[in-house]
Amino acid sequence: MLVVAVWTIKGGVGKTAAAVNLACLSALEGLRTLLWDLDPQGAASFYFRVKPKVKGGGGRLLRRSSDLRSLLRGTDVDNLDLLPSDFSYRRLDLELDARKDPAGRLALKLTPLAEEYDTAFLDCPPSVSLVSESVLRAADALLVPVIPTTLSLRGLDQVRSFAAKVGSRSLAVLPFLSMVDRRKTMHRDAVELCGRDDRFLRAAIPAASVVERMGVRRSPVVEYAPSSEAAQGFVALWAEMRARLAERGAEARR
Amino acid sequence: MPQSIRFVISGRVDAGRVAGWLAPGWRVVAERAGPLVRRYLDTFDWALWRRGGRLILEGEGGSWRVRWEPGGGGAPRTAPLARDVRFAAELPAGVVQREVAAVAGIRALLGVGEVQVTRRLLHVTDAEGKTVVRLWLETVRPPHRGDPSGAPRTSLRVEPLVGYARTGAGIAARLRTRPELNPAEGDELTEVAAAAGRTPGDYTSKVTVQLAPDQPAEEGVRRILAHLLATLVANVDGTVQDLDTEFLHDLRVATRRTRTCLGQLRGVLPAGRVGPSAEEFRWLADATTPCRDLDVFLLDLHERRRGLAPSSAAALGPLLARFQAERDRTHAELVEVLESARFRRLTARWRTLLAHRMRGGTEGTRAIAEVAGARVLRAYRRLVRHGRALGPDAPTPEMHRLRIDGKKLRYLLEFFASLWDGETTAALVQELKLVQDTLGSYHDAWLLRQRVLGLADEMLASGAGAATLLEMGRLVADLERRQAREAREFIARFDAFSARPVRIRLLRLVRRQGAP
Repeated sequence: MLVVAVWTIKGGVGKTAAAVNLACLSALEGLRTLLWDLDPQGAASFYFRVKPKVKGGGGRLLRRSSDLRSLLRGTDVDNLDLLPSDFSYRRLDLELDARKDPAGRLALKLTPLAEEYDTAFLDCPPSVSLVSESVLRAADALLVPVIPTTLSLRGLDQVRSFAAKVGSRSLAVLPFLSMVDRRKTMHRDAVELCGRDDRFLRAAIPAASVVERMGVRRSPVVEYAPSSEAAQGFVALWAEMRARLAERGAEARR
Repeated sequence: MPQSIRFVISGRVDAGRVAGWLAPGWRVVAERAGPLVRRYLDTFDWALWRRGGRLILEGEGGSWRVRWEPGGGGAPRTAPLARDVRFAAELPAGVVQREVAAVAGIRALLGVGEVQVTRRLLHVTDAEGKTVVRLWLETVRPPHRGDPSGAPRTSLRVEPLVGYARTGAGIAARLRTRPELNPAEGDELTEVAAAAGRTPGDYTSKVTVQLAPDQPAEEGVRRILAHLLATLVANVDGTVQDLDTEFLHDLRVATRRTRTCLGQLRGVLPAGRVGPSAEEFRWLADATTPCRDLDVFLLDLHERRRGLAPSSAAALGPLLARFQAERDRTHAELVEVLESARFRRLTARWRTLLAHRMRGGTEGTRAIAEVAGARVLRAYRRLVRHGRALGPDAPTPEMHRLRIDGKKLRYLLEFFASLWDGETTAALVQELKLVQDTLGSYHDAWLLRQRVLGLADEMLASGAGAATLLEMGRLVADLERRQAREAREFIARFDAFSARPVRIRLLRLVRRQGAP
């Protein structure tokens, strides 16, 4: 199972939109896909019309004996199951801290699902915490949405150094531009700048009202507007991410 | 995990009526009806069906997808299909491929049959408008064998999404109260198979003859041989059409078992009657050897290639092509044998011979349990005697002879399993199989090594590059190591199988039914 975390320090950068749409594309391709909504705001759960409620809350979920399977909800998209959010996740840090090897706990919880799913997406809250540490330890790839602004690019440096410090040894950090508005000079400049940086994925997600409408449609863009520029951006991002990971895998084998 | 429930509908039922039955309480949103082709696939030996799985290709609007229902309450998985599928490895990569491959292995996925369906999807939604249960309202034109006049049947399948099993059960309970709906008995695969003249589970390569301990040995042995003949014949078409390598494997095993039965149970049937056919089975067994050996080489080499770096895998290409060409030639020769008058005569005569009682065998009238027990013990003693004389450096032909001794014992245990305690017999066969596996792997490595060594000059002359020859050298060295490893492993496993506890269990097993 390929575990992909979508995380950054900054909020409101299109993190959940990326997690939801990429998970949907993975499922549409026929891959058994899991989306774990770890954000107490529960936006990913909302998009899939699933009640953000986990029986027993985050504390019970983290117990060694609890089985994530009993908490899964099938979404309207074939092959895509969701592990919903819960408001108690706001205290997930404390719950993790009270346990042995807190940073390894999410990886431990995902292990039994590894045979049943091809891909797992972790939609994480935007903060530097024990939760993000545990997420980075569990993930094979970290997708980092970056809006083309100075502050956001600065945040990426912090993400990189944090991931290098706490992430798994094989973690691939894959930043991509999100919410790009080509009418703005600053955004155009940033796109050009990042285009010269090999570490960035080339695919970029535009700032578009069709993405904002996800909240009204309560469905992924790639489902209700598949030919829109934004949906095509997610398609390109999904393909590029997989190609980049395959390349890394081949290199590691060599 | 969700359970799907199917109802058969009598009378006229449309989406509106179903929605009415579920209101109040559940909201139903209907999609448009559309035509669909549903094609069922399974291996020849029904490996998927035996595990409760269903593999279905669904064709809709010019595109195809695969639907895998893993059984055991597991949620169905679907994936778009871009090409025809013959083996599990050709399914789209992911859980579906992994799960099907784990069950089907190297067997081909063959079409069992198909149905034409008009179906409509009804979403049962919750207060948020989320689908929690899918209802499939289907009109199926039943598959027919010759007679196309059967009336279409309507059914309703309740399929809860993951995490909504309780809602699904509630909906099913509500639907059960409708007189128009009756829970479906059996499943569609059974109907589709029946239309194709088959029954799920109608073939297994295992020996499944039920014998009574006191029945005359002549009668019991004839029944075993008739069963083996049926297995042999069942695999002819698949071998000729080259559907997968296991048809030839099963055909060959049925032939070998027949020869073992005749050889190890000598005296039960009159030698004068069965002798000529025994000679012909020897001819058949010999005819299958070249093609089977090459099948084993190719399976082995393809497996090896998967674990190699791309450059090494490419270097192995010319050797694989050389073996494949030879394999195709030997297969064509085998097809000639299986389509020959001599083969037809052999099976026809053998069938006729086995249909009638054969008098004159010195042991034919004894109770089968007595004969079986004595022959099993004799085979075991011979295996132990020969095996103890071998060390890890024993010559390969000696090791191969021991492997044949082991096969004879295994076949005897399998022939007469119904006479004895099933659990003990299965455990003994399993322990013997451990010994056989090491001997098999040892022999396969030796055979392939000999062939690769013998091909070096030919490959060089045919223009194979240095990389190919180096790869062949690496292969030979690996095979040599494998042989040495298996020889060491054999000693440990054989010691366990020839030890006193196994001997005692075997004695107790067969003597309980009256063996001397």
